[in-house]
Amino acid sequence: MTFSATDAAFEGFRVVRRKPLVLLWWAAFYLISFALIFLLAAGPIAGLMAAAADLENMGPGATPEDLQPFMMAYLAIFPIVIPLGILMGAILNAAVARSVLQPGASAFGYLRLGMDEVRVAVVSVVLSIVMGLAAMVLFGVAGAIAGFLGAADVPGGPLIMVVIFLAAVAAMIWLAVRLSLAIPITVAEKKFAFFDSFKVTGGHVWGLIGMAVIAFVMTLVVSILTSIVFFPITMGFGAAVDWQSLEGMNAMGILQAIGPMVAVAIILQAVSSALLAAVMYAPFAAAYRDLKGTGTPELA
Amino acid sequence: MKTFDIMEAVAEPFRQAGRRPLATIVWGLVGLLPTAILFALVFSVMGQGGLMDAVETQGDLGPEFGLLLNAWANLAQVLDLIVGAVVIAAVTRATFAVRRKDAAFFLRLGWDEFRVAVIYLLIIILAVVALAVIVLIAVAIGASTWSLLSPLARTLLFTGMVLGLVVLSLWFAGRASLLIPTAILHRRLAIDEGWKLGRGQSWKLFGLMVMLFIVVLAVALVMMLVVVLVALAVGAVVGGMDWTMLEDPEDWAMGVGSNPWIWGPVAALILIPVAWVQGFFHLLGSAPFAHVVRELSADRDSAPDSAADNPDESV
Repeated sequence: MTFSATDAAFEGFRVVRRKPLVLLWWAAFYLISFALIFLLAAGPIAGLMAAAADLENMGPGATPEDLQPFMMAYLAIFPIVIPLGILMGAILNAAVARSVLQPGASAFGYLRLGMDEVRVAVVSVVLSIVMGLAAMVLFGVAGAIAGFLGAADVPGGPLIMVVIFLAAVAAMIWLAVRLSLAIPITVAEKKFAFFDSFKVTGGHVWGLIGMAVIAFVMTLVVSILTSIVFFPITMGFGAAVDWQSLEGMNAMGILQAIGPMVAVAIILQAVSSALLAAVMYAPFAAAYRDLKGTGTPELA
Repeated sequence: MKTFDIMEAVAEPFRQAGRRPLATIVWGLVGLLPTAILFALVFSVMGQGGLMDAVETQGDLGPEFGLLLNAWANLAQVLDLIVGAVVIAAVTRATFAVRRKDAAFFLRLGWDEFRVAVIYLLIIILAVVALAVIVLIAVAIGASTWSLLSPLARTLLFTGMVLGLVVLSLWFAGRASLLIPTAILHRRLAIDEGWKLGRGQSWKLFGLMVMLFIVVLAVALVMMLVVVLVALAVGAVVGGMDWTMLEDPEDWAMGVGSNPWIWGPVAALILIPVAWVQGFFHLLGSAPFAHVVRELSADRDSAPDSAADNPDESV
């Protein structure tokens, strides 16, 4: 099978058309993830709201020291949310990759919790760190050169600075594309595929950039369409809230008053996110399948 | 190598409008839908006494009005994109169909329209990113050469850069304009084919863009003249017109608005020509490029079937 950027970009829709139930599974997974994060982070979130209310009561006279409890409460949420976010992301990413690479393994909407997910989580974290370090180095060097050019008043300095900055951005995009198939490879080959993506993506950078851009644009169109479909529901619930009465209310009071609306919004958001995950991530798995020429016997 | 005639491409919207007057009106009506919905919603809210009372008592309309207005504005934008995709696809199909008629005026809602929306957004995003990069480079060139060049040389350089940007934009627009018709012709996202189709035709497409710009300008001027004349005639009948209206046109316009009994029939009367004008501008925006794709691609004398006719269509 040959790789076509425009064909691969539509893989998310093919996944949903083949197994429409995956949408329900993934939406339910999103809901459970939200609930779990909210449940585990309920204490710190309540602390954050209380700190925010205290800060609001202080008014314009608040000093930077008064901000400290709020910042501490805010930071207390991270140790819970970040690991959970990574784990949930890994489960969903692995499920989307599996739906393309092993379409027959559709039990539980392709969702699993095993070594695949652990590997995907580790690979995601490592590659995020690699990307962060690369950005620091590239933009650090670009900044240093810009500083030197500025200090030395070199003729044509601004133009050189812009070219170097654009080159740094291009290098980051290139690196992101070269690493973009790491997750599908990790799931397909059942190993920690940190840099295997480099081999597979060689000579296909432009096609993969095109595929990613098209997939991104399709997520925009899908978001627009889902917002149209959900518009009457959200407007209906929004109209049921007495917005005037919220003025002067504290954060907890507002949360209680708009609770039903928030619940509906979360459910709709979960459905929308499930579809968007398929549209955004499935093309990369399809690109790996097509570039490796493995095919999917179940689809033949 | 296959080629096309610029004047034939420019003539295509006029040809289609002549062959399909009813379809032109229908496309215009569909195109006006988002604006009509937005106006209807805003006027229905403005007409509610409660909001006006709120302005008088509180000095503003309260938070819910802002939320509602924001939601409607977003809805109108979203509808605009969808309706735009539907009409562009319909006009393109009609151009491919040459003379063949269609009971639904070639209007559909399916994968073709989805692909049109995707390509439309893709072109906008790429154009914005490219423009940002070009402007950044142009500013850097300007800053680098400011102290090195004489005022005359600077003026010439900036004029050259602006002209270069205009030429580059038209060149890109010409090439990109074939993407949507090609996607509809091939019934898939055929971006690669669409871009390659314009290979070797870039300067002809550039010429077509320039010609279309002139034609749109001329048509818009004629339309504006007609609209002003019609508005004056309607005003004379409805609101009573004399030379004093020129002294205070706002007051005269308010006076016209105080005759609501006449607005229904007048609006209905005006709607048809307005819809035709809107439909004709849709034709001007899409038909020439569909014509070019039809000429550059293999012979094709019939429009693609609707997505509904092809349930097995690959996405």
